[in-house]
Amino acid sequence: MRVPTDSYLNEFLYTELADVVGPENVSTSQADKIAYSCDYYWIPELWIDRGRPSPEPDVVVHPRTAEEVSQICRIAANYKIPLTTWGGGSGSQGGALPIHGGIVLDTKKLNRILEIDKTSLTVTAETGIIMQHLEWELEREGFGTMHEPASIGCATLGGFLAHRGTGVLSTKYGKIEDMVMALEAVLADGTIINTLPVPRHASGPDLSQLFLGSEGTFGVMTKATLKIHPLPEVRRFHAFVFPDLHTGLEAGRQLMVRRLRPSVIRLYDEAETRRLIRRVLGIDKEGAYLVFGFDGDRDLVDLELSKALAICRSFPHEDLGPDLGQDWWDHRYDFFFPNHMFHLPQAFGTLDTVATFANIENVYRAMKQVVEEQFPMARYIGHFSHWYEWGCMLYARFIIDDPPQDAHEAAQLYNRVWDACLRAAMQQGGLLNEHHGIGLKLGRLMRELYGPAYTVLENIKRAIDPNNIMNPGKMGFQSR
Amino acid sequence: MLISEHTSTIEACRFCFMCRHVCTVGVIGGRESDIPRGKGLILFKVLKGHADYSPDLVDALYRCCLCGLCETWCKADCRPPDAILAARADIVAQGKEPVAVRRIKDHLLQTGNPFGLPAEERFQALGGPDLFRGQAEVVYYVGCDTAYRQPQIATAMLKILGAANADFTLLPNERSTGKPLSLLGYRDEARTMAEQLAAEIRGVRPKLLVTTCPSAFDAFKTDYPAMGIDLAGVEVLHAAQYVDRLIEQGAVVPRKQPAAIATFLDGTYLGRTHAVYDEPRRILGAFAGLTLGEMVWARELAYSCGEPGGVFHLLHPELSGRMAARVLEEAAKTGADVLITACPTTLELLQKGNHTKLKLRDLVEVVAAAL
Ligand SMILES: Cc1cc2nc3c(=O)[nH]c(=O)nc-3n(C[C@H](O)[C@H](O)[C@H](O)COP(=O)(O)OP(=O)(O)OC[C@H]3O[C@@H](n4cnc5c(N)ncnc54)[C@H](O)[C@@H]3O)c2cc1C
Ligand code: SF4
Ligand code: SF4
Repeated sequence: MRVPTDSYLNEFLYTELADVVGPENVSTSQADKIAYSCDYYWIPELWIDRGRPSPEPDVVVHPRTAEEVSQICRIAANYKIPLTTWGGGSGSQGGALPIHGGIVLDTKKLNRILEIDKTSLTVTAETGIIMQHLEWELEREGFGTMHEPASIGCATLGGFLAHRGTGVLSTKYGKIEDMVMALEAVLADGTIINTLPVPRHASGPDLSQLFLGSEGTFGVMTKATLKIHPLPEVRRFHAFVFPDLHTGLEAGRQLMVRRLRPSVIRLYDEAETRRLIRRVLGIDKEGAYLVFGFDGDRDLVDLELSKALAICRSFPHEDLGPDLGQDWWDHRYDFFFPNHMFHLPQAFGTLDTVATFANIENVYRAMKQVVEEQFPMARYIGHFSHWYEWGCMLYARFIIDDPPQDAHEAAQLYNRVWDACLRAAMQQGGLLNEHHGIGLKLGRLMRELYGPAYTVLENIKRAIDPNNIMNPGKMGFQSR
Repeated sequence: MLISEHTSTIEACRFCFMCRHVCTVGVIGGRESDIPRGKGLILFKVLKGHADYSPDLVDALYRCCLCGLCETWCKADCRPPDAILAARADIVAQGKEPVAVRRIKDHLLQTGNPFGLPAEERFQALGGPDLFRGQAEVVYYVGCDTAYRQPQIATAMLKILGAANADFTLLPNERSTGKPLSLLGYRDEARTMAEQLAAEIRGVRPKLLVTTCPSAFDAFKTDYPAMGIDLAGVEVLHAAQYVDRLIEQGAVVPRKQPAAIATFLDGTYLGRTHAVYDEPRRILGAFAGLTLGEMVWARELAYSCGEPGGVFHLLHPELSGRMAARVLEEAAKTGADVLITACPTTLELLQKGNHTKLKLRDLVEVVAAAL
């Protein structure tokens, strides 16, 4: 349900919200309706590009405390209208889109750093803080969460928690879900809850993990305590080019299964090496570019680095040395400015997935085959950016340089590529997604991914949000 | 529509978030319509005829302080402030600017200053007719914010000019440079005002035009040449550059000062636009006793109070108050005793919201006090 746009009921809704947060923190401006109608998902971008009307919020609120969030949830429950949480809107899956109108709750004024515990090395912050602002403040004190995603300046802490996001240093420091100690969240009925203060215990299942990745469908996370780390004494990088992707993958796997602790390994396939690495870093090589890095105390880094170098040199390779690795680190965010990023009129999608070492190359090749055989208008490129003890993530992309002009045709083609690629990935043991989330984009495939286990998630959703108010229609949960 | 000249910026920004965390208004205001992406989305819709300049969209397009941090951060050479300025000119051409904007324009046209204060009171605080000469080597352009709000800056500058035995004058008919008008979208009115002022300046036949106001400095350095307005070859300097030169020439010699830590706040026009970073620091370095503590956010990435043209705070006092508070907090983190700016608008905004122990001074005040 939604309050009809021209109903005077909207005035009551507005009055009640303004009473909670103050009129300066409620907006029904057309400017905001436009700005909150599009996140970083290609379909709403396409819709704007083609001049089609997009779903918009009826009202945007900017609460400053968990108590205000709680009261907003109660108002939404009372009117039985959708409440969609919006952090930075930088999500690529349409997660923050108010597809059924209603209230958009923008968290960016929940942006205080509440405590830096220098004894236990933790930080407690409100979830609307821009990740880069948190990191900069921690750096002043000599620490970092080491969560360094390319959208560090675009996105909020809460957005990363809600999507189980990841940063470039994840191979050593983990994804965001590995960094969380505890959470505060507001439920659909306005109850404010806290999860247990430490993540390792045997006092029942881990409630924090229930909210991580829930994409605003279970509640609004308002506060989080994260682990922090001292800034490393040194950070060293080294780059290689391997003759082909297979060799690069094997080298990367060896670094992990020999249980070295690189902070980053990034391996680009031949197509990305030829295209992106040349364009952004000016490195003109054929083959598969691999960069890795270690950080920490100088002597330990030197030791691990020497072992890593020996592993890489045991494969056919060209050694690019430390400088071309350091270059990659220095320019790691440049890839995402419009002059380097894919953008409309191109159609593009990031098919990020994850699998074990035994499966990951098959996943890569299966999706590549789908694109090449079924979608001749599309290209396929990829890199492997987050590595685990057991496998790694594949950041594959498809790009269609000249998609149909008609928005409907373009969207249908787009969805077909996604479905075909991800079904091929799942067949080979890949998942729907590794760190961008599900959102609106991939909800329809969740039941295929989970099988009967999806009912468990649906039942949790029904129990925690019986009126289906929190971000309805996302993650494959019931629309309205 | 003038915005069509900025299509590449609009099309890049509309789907890009890469500068959100540095956008001055965005960080404080928190709305998605505040950041360049939001502006890009709005302008794209207008450009393509999918939306009109409705009052809501117009308001959003005046919610940018033109600090230029987005542009500095951008690696794709996009210029949101230019696109926003073009939009404002389009809005004015359609007669759709907000009432508050029109009021500032009326003030400027009627009284020569954005506040609507009487023109004859402009130099009231500065003293008598000996400030004016028919001809002089140096024209000191005081500017509206200095004259009406921060006259002690002008007094300090006059002391420096006196100490250097400069052959200088003020302009008896000084008015705004017209820059606030162009920043609000009134390009024709801005040109008329600029032409009038330029004629006044030329009349004195100076060699040097010096100002304590960075907005005026940029008007003379950037806007006037772009409009083809002739200043008869006069050299234009901001006071920071001028004083730096005087100290180097030994024309003024600052006395030793009691020990203190100072931090300097760079700004949009003096810093980001004209890269005058070293001169203020050299000047402060010339005072034995003064130690310079740099903010983490300094030089081209300095935080902004939104000083360009001195108009943003007139339209959005509450927002600009919070922008100033952020600058003060940042400055306080350096442990400085005094925060120094080289901009009357900035000083005014900082003074209004100073909740810290920092003393606030303009650069020329610090110099004058040491003479
Ligand atoms: C240039 C660029 C580069 C990117 N690079 C990376 C990268 O390196 N790593 C990565 O992981 N992602 C990356 N992303 C994707 C995106 O930044 C992440 O998905 C991020 O987590 C989104 O955060 P946000 O604050 O923008 O959330 P939004 O897009 O506003 O919201 C995302 C989802 O989270 C929910 N949500 C937001 N805040 C809360 C909260 N407090 N409580 C409950 N639910 C909430 C929303 O309802 C929505 O479902 C990139 C995006 C861009 C634009
Ligand atoms: S100015 Fe540059 S970084 Fe900012 S939104 Fe535009 S393109 Fe992106
Ligand atoms: S000029 Fe300043 S306030 Fe305006 S969009 Fe750019 S960064 Fe934001």
